Amino acid sequence: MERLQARLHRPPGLAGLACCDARGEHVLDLTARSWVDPAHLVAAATLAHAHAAADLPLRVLSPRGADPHHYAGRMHLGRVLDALGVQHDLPTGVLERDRRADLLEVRPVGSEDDARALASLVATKLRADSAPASDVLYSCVAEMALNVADHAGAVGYVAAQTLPQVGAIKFAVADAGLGLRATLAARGATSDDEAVQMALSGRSRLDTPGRGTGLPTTLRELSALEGSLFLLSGEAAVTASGSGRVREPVEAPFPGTLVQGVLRLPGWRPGAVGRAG
Amino acid sequence: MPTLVLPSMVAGRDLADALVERLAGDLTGTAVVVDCRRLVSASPSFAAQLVLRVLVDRRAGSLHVEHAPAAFRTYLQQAARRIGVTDRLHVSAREPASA
Repeated sequence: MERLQARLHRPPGLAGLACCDARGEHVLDLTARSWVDPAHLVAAATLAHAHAAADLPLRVLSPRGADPHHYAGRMHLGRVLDALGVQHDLPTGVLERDRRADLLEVRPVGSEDDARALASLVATKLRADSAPASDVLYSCVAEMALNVADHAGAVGYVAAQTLPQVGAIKFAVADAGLGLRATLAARGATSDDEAVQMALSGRSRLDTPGRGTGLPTTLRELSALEGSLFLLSGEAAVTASGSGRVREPVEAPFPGTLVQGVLRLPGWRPGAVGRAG
Repeated sequence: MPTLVLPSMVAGRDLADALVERLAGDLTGTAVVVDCRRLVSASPSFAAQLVLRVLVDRRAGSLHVEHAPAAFRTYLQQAARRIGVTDRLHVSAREPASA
């Protein structure tokens, strides 16, 4: 449990999620991953989707460890890769006896309808445990998934997970679309780092009043529940929380945008067994 | 009065556009009512677009949001501040459920 606590707000190391060109073949090598976050799942699905869309062959290598290997399969990454025609060695027939903690397996989002449906699904699953957390999760997942439909011009992926041992939720949304720098270039962004900071501060590509509120509101709501938000676009990454923003090293530049949010379930106490509430 | 009844979960600008589109006729100067009795969860982008469409684009005189959950109330008020229409937005809170 201490390891889980320590990892809760740690940025997801994305080493292995850069496509390496191994003898003419693109490979996503997850073999060295000792744990897998929703961020890793949606990043892998997004990169696989981009390869499939460009008709580029790709092979995904599953984590070697039994737990992350099994988890990635249980969260349907293997099925998503199958549907994209991407080679992989992830399990696809994982026994799913207890999936209560898997709020949302890897799912595509390409429209506002998709974004609403997925946000409703996770919020409804969580509602019995914590109504306040359910409301925040609905708002955050909806806003981040809506950004994919609204700005990215691409299909994205969403996943969410309950961490009952530490009373927390993690969700992630990724797309291989324009990326924040291209999206905010007309607003003066000249680097990935500048674009990430501008997006967190509420700058939008559009002049319409009230635009650009998704990320700042998501950050505020996550912070109110002792949470944090990790934002990666291109070569820039930031972890933001109520105590400020921290620039993170980028192990693998991401060709689009990836967000991972963490929030605590209100009222959860250490030692509680199972889910909060 | 023109009235919108919101479903249990609302998110996104397209949905706000579609719901406001249902309000027929010229809204200029009228009072528009939004009934939130069924609403459970909402997103800030929906709230911002609702305020923008009703009070700016359709030029309603006022927007009266009734039985609003706390988070939705906050989103509406923040949007109205950014758009500059706080004097035309009236939000009544949902009463706490009785035991």
